Amino acid sequence: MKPKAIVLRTAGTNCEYETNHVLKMVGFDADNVHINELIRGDKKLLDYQMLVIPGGFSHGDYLGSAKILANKMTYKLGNDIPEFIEKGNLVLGICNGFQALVKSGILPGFGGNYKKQETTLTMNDSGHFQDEWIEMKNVNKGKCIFTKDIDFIIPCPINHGEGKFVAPKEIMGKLKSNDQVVFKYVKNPNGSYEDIAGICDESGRVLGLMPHPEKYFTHLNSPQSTRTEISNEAAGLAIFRNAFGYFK
Amino acid sequence: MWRIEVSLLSEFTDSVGTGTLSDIKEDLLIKSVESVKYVDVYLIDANLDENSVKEIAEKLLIDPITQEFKINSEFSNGFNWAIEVSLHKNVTDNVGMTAEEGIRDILGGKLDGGVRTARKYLLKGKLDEKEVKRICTDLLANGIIENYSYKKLD
Repeated sequence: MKPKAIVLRTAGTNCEYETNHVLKMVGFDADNVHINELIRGDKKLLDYQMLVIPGGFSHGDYLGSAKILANKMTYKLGNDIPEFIEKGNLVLGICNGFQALVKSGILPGFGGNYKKQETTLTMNDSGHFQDEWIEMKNVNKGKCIFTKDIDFIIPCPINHGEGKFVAPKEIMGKLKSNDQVVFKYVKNPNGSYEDIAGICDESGRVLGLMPHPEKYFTHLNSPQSTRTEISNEAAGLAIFRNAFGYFK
Repeated sequence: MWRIEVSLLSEFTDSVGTGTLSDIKEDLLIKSVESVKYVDVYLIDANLDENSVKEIAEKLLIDPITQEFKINSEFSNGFNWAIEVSLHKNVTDNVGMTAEEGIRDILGGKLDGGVRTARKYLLKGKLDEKEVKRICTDLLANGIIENYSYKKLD
């Protein structure tokens, strides 16, 4: 039986279809579900094994990127997501999804406290929205299940205005000593502290990152596509394959 | 009516303020402006007590890592002029409407009233009133849909 992934959308989400497509490519059974369906109880989070919060501009990113979505996760879903994590399931937040995980306190989730905001993603140093291809490298030493055996550079796009990762000094130290830093930019595009592009929680089963690996699943997605080898297996897929592999 | 002002903590780069400063100097050629600080303003017209407003500010309107807020008082220290830009009353304020939804999520019920928003720019420099007015009309406010006001700070 295929593991089931829930792609959580809300007003302003716009990357749910490619995220769903990639999840199905690697073997998941994936559903796009509006957060109101969870709030009303029409769908149950615990019927799934992986939660993916995709990219977009939830609620217009008014009041700060993903702030309203983060508050809905905190105040409307209550303990659903922490309970989902504690039961051994996976959570992946991409771009706006990463912002929601950080602002709801699910990441970094020190000591299993998934309700305290310790870090943030704020306006790029450039002061504007950036849409470009970047390269990121896996710097995790083994905690994060999503990056197992990823020893190669992953090129993929960023599409964000508020992607600068910021954390107080003591929190940065804790992230590093806990092996919770996962991805770093090869060339920092937005002023993120210590080039950080993605972090995980203490369990290694919750990952958030600003770049979009789901937008690089075939060589045709790449701006270098005419210069590279033809392949239906682009680097972004590796993260999703590791997630699928976790359930084997 | 509750007025909440939200500003970046001083240790973080104010990209909007810096960008506005650059636009004033390079596009309007007003060189006497030295710095600009940007502030978000939320005007909550609802029957709420101070504790609820504080909770709304802390949990909804600010990012606790990078921002601070003031309730019914203003950020103005060290600046010479304040400009405020807001939408005409008959223009939909999407940010205000989103704030209303966010407040309902936090307080768990209906909001008896509404939220309007404004953008505030604090300017430092030896500017005269004519220059400040020009900054409003030629750069910061779209007169078709927005009002502006300005005041000299002591």
